[in-house]
Amino acid sequence: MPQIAIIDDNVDLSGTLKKTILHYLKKFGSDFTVITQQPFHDIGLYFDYVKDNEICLLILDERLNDKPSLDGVPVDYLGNQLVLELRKQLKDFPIIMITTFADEDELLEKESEFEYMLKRDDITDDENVANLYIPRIIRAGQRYLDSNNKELTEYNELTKKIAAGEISKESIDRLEALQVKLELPIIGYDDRATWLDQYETHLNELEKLKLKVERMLKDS
Amino acid sequence: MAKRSGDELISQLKTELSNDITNYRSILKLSAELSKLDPKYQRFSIDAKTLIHLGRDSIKDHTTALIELVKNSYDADSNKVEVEIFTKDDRDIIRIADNGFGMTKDQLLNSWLRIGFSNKRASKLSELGRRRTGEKGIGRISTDRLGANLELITKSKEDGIIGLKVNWDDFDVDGKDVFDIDIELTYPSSIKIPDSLGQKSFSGTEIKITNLRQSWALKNIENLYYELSALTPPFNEVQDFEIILNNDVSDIYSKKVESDFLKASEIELTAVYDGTGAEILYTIKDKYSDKETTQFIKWQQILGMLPKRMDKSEISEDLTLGPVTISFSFFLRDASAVLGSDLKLADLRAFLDNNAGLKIYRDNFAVKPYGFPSSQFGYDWMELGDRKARNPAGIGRGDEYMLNPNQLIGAVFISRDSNPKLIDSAAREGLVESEEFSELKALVMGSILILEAHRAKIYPLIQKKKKEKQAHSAHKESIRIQEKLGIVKDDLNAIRKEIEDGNINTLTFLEPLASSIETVDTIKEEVDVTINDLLSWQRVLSGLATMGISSAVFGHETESSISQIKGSINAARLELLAIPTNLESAMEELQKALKSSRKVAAWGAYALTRVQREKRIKRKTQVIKTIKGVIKELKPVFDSSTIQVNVIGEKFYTTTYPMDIESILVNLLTNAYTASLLKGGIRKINIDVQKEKRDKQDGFYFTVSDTGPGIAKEFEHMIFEPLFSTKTARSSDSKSIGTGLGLTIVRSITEELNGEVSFGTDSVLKGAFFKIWLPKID
Repeated sequence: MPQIAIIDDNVDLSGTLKKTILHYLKKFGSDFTVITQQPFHDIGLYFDYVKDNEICLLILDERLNDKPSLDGVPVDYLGNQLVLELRKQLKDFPIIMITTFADEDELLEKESEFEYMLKRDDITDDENVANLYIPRIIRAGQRYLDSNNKELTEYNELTKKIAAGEISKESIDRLEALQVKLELPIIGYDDRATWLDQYETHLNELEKLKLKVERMLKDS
Repeated sequence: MAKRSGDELISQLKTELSNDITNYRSILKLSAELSKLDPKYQRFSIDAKTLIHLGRDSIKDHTTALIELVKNSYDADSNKVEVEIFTKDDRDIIRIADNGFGMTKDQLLNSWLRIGFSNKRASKLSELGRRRTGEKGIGRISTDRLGANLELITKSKEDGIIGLKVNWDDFDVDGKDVFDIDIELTYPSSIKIPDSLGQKSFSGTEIKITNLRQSWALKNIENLYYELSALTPPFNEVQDFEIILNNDVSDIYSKKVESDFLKASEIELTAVYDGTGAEILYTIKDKYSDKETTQFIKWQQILGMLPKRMDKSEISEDLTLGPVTISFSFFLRDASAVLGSDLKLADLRAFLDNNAGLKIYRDNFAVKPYGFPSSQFGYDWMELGDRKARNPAGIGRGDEYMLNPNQLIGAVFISRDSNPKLIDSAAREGLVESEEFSELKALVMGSILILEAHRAKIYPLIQKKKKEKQAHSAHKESIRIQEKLGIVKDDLNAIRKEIEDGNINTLTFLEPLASSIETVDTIKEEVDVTINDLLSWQRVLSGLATMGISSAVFGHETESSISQIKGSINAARLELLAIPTNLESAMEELQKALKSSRKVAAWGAYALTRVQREKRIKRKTQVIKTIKGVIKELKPVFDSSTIQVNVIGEKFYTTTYPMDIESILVNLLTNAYTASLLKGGIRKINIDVQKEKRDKQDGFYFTVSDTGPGIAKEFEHMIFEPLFSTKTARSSDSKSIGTGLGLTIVRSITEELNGEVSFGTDSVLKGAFFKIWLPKID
């Protein structure tokens, strides 16, 4: 099930936001769910978090450094700093910024890093704005999932071709690009013979196993 | 005395009871002793001293004690009270005598002698419809405040004369029970009470207090006079309640107590209708002009002014009610009413509470229920309160303004002979609501409207005057001072010239020198006042600036709380609208909203108390207490950013402006807060308060240190510069929302107080520390 994740140090605020977004998701017929997460001290953890939880959209709070995080002490970065780090790997990932304050200059400078920048009250207190933005948020998440899907399909077909020996320089380059984008482990494909040998060994072993089983059945 | 057994006591008691002469004291004593042997029930006894303490604790001073007794006379429906205070020539005595209803023997023994009993509690109004003024039932014990010996004589229509004597010193002994003290009953043959309107009175009470406890100085008598005057009715014509003060301290105050409060009125209006024709003569006088204005107003005009709501069907076009005089005094109930007079605001209010209302006097006697607080409809018979409630516009609204009934003392004078058509109602108290009575009401209402119109007219002028008074700006002051100094300079120059010319006649110097010195003296005072004004102004501005700076930073917490409130309420609404409703989740959101609203309220309280007047007054201040107070108020802000604030240090006092300490502290805290947020992990702010001598000068310091990144070397030399801020310096990862004024204010206040500021890196917390040293003044 694809999920929207809210990264916020303030669990009260994120709880309310989650509830509100869930309401609108239901209203607009989306089957996304929403989870909340307090900020990680180690920014690297966000990448696993996104992958493991099937996240299709991130909502970041700007002021991440107020409240204690999971280990009891607050983190030392803000939303506008976190997004720069996340963009190093999640290049096309939809990220939305939620702010409580109107005067976050340094955040405004980084507006281009976000899908949308919203005031918290716009979602939690203004039905008109929420009605306008929630469908956009849903579409952004869906778009990510769709393109992610399309790319996975393409990747699949490319690997099949390569396996069948239809190999070209372009398809190998494209495959490698997709591997980076989809964050898949990079494997080489030029040792096809080795792979086939291994495949044959496996088949032989299975054949032997089959004979053994048949013999046992006869004996009994 | 050896303890007697129960049997012994019973037999002794029996003997006493069968004696021909009843020894009450002995019987009482025996039965009291016997009752102590009761194995099943015991009773409280009361130390006689308690009574004395009760009296002394509940009464502020001896003037108040005496006033209590006069109030009792008022409540007893007397119309004349004599108060005598003699302190000289061995005849020290206080005597209060009234011609009220007196006390029956039963009342004296069962009510007066019962401490804490007051029938005034049961009924707030006397038979005459007076609002009873005393109520706690402590007037009698308050006499102890006045003197050691009390003699009370009272005469009632029912029982004749009876009296008692109390020696309060008997009570002031350790270990005695109230019960043990005998109060002697007396049966005097005569009583000296004031007459009633020239007739001999048939009842009344006379109290004589001797062995006076305190001396009565002129000041006390003066006070007493003013407090008594609050009890007397405002109109001299009215013989409702009269107090005669007689004393040997001050001749000036040995007289009939007259109400002085009318002179505190804003506006006085008199309307006289002589009973013929269609014109009424109005006289209006207000506090702000010396002249009174007089004008004739036609009855038709008055009818035209009356509100539409008023029923005019019974009012004829011609006045038929006969001669009437209406007298109004309109009061403000605030300090401006007594400004420039020797009256006290509290006394004026008491006077208004006693006398406000519109009374009708027939042949100088008040007609019930008009203006009497006894009946709901009778008291405000012109329905002024109702009218005001319907249209509460303030005076600023000009024409729409309506007065409050508690601001008005009014009297309508009529007489039996010349107003024969204003007759008593047979069915109930009051006058028959005849055509003439409707005319009277219309006339009174018209007069009120004229008074209100006058107030609305003069109000803008008063406001203008007030503004002119205030416009004494520092700039104007400095011009005035310069002008005066110019004169001094000219005078001194003239003297120099005389001396240079070899003219050394000392006499010619004397006059200009003397006048110069005088001028310099006045200037000195004026400069002092001006500078003090400016300093106090500066203090307020610093406080406000500090408030502003801290709001910019701490205010974020409020913003997010408000955001939480709005969000939670909306979420709760959505949860309740959902099908099925999600009550639990809605409740959770409402809880969050509540929690956040408390935070907002706390912030509001913090903001409100920042520039409180009392904080701008120099006084003995316990520094650590002041600091802890601020920390307590800001705690929610620090908590929400996970910053621990610790205050440690010594307790001591210094004489200073609490606001200065607070302004310095809040600015430093604001910086420490911003700095702490720049780092993750454990965040702390430590405050340490200690005494420290510098250059033999007693002093103290407080430090504020934090876990932030500290002050960058390259900024150290500029941090106190106005408008410098790490924000304007564009430090790469700074998040400060600085105005660049905080530290400038800190330095300016510290220097103003002859103190010093230093800063550096805190060895424990690794962030910045600021240390403020100030001289300690005892």
